[in-house]
Amino acid sequence: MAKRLGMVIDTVRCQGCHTCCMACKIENNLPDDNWWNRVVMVDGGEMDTPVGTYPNVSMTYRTMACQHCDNPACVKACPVGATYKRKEDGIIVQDYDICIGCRTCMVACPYNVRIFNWKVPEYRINFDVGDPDVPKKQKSIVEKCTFCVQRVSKDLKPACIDVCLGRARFFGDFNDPDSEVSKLLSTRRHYQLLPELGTKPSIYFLV
Amino acid sequence: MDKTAGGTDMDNKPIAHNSLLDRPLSRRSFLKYLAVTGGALCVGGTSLFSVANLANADADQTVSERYPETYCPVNCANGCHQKVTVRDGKIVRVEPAQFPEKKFNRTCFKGMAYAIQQVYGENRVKYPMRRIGERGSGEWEQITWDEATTIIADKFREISEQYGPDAIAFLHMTGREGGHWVNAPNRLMSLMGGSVVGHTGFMSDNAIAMACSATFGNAFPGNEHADMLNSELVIHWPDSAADSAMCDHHFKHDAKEKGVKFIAIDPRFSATAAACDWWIPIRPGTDTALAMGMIRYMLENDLWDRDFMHDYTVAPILVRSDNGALLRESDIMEGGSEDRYCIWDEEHSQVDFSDEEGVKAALYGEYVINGISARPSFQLLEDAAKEYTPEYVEKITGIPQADILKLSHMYATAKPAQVRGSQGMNRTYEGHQPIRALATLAALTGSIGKPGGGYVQASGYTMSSFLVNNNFANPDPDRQAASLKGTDLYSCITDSDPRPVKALWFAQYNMGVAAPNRNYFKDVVIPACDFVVVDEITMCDVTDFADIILPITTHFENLGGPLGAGWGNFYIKYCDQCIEPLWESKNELRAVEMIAQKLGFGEYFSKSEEEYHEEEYNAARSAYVKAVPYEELLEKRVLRLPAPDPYIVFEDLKFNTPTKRVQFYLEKLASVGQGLPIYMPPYEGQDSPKTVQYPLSMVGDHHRTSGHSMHHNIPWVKEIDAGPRLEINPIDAEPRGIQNGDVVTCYNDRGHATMHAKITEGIMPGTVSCHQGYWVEQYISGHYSELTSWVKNPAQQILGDTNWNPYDILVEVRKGA
Repeated sequence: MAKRLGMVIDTVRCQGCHTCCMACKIENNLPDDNWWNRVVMVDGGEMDTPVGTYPNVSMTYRTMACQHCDNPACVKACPVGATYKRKEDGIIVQDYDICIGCRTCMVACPYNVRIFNWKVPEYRINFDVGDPDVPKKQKSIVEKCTFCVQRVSKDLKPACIDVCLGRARFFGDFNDPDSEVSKLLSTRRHYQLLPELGTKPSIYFLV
Repeated sequence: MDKTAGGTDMDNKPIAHNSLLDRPLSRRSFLKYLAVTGGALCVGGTSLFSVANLANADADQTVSERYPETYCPVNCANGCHQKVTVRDGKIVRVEPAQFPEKKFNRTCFKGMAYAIQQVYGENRVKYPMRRIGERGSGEWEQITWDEATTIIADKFREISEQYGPDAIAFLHMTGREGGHWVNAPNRLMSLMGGSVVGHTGFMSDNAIAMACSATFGNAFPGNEHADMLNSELVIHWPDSAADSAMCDHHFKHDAKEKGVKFIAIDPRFSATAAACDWWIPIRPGTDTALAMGMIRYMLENDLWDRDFMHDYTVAPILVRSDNGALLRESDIMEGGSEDRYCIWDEEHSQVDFSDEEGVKAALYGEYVINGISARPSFQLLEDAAKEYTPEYVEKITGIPQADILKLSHMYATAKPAQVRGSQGMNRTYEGHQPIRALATLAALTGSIGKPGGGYVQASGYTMSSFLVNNNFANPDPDRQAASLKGTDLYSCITDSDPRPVKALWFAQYNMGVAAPNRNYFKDVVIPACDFVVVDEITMCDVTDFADIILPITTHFENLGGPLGAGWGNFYIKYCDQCIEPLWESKNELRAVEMIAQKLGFGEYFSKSEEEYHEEEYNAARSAYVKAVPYEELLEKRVLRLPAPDPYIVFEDLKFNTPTKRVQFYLEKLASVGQGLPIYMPPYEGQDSPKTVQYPLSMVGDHHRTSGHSMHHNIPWVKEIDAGPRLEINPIDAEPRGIQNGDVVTCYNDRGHATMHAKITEGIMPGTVSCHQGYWVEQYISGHYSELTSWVKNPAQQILGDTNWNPYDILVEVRKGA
């Protein structure tokens, strides 16, 4: 049976530390000011700003990246087939050599996790970092989280998982009932982002 | 000339490494890698690899990767060990190093970013440099190491001949811990008789160190983080562990999942408070009043451990009513000992001594012995606590009475409860008092030395001090550095008071962003100093003040040797050198060696790094280290020292104080009316007349985006944290016409800081805050440290030296620059 790879992120344990974001940035040799994975406040407010009224306030972090939807809006929208779902594991990938930079996928994606390179990618450090198998970033293409497909192909977890300081991030196959991620969903309350849109995200947040 | 003196060429020599760690890339990866690198060459514009090298690359050749491991030594509670990927001689990835127990695998985003963007940053100090313009003009010329060290040695000799060697002062901080050779300048100072400036006060940690040393005989007592799981209630008071010990914070999540309750007492709603069950905002500098209120509650409701207080604290020891000193055997009998302390034996109605076992001593009452009237320390505590009624404590702290009572009851009845403190409240003018009050509170519960209980300070710094010894800094017992109190440094330079200081040497200390009363330091102190040397890894606000700058290596360029794994556990690991020193940088040992040679002390610096590592390891005083031969560490690379697991400080209930007990009463502070940890108003608190002009209390906070100042210049970190923001409650912002994001200026009679406003419900009304450590260029104008002062505190001068109090200031805030 094909896999359905995805993540479970525990918003109770997430402490908003950004370590997953930095691991992603380095692993994927992301250009300056380009982040595939970001920490956000669950209520959508400014970083480290609580909701509520003093002194009855609360603050919950979660991370945002491609949701690797089982029914991805971006794939349907792409006119050239540059973004597609891998049959074997459900990862949504982006082929930079096919992408024409029309940004239709960005409009279609309800999660605001796709990034367009308006200019030739710039780096303050003039050598490549991270995994050498990551494709070179290009001007006028769209990019996003790939679940570190270059690592998954080596049977490694995405770079953001094991670095998590709160031990809040889990990766695995939802089609395997014995996987850690399946077990977490069967024992903990959880949600997906915008489930009403029918995109069926492969990222679940524990509460 | 800009700060980036020099070019971008880097030495790419291979370094010796363990070939077992090599992992050749596949041919496919290699070809792909070449293509990527080639592309980057076009993009970046500046070549790190020569084109010829690329053109000559043989397709059968492999690019080697190495995976050395090192330690992140930036004075952080976590001290993470990092697995570093070095490709073609350059650091390209940092991951957590693997420990035998996975729970210690960790490294944070700052440590990852530092490894690449700080190490290879464009502002690295690349060459020795001499100032050629006015001081502070930023005009430098590149000189050789020989020229630089000759200038330094000549100047030191000249000052030494004219004013004495102690007119040369060395002041270091903690920006690059790890490896004893960061103490190489101390070693030279002790050989030449120079001054070493006490830095714990500048560091603003001294109130903790002095209070805990006097109370417990241990400057930073702590239990392992994992011990939170043994507790029922943990109070972070104040302690934003999610910021300052974020890599250990997962232990808290584990404890929460187990059902442990958490409370945060803090003027700010920090990321730590957000992960607690209850946030109790408190006015800055008033924690002692709350603790004393809780003590009163426990005493009134008989919720305290009489046996513990009787057996292990000074509670039964008699205090003389005439002078506040402890009553000694020598006071009441001829030839009696000064080290025996009197207690009152209740059963036999006679005097006895605290070192006698099995005596049932009085905790209450007043006794007259040989004409000397005295009362048990406990009686004094109970009398003092009576004042701290809920009404009074509410007035001081701003915490509602009902909350004070609820908190007191929860704490007193949890079995056990643990208070975890950090540096915040010790950064107030009377910062030793709340530390003492919390120690007293913990003693009353009887949970000191027990799992899940006690008072845990600063993530338990003492655990990491197992490798510390003084041998390296003091190689010759006949030669000692002159010690200089931090609070005297400014006046030594400006007025030779109490003695002249003519040369300053800064290391690992970006004093440009952390100088008490910064404007005075910059405008008066520095211009009065004849000669300033800075050894640094990157150009920063302190290099602006230098006459000579020496380029120093980062820890990735050094052989780390045996190093602990943070303040909260007993792991030890042998750390590799990851890359060769970049540009012309040298580690401090080799840098100081060159100066020492010119001053005739070269022989004391002649050994290799490896030899010093072994020597220093074998000289460590800790019995846990002595139990592990150096060879065993070299072979295993990582191991846990044979300490109890989890380590509980004072588990043996032995206290290294004069009375061998927990000293909640300190006779040496009786003369200033602080024998007990009573509430003393802040230097600039809400009851100060200065509130008319400057009505807002200002604090700083240690945010997770920077260790202190050492990460704020890193571009990737700046992409996450755009710079200083003034946190202000809407209740204070609205009448000042301030909207979120507005430019605002915080000011008082000492200086100002202009930045953007962040309006938040997560800060107590009447209080504003700004994260610590931002660089001068990150403010729109001014700087937080301009707002601060440093006035000697009489009690702290008795205990040691006054702690800097940057979280005890009053300001006014206006809209605009």
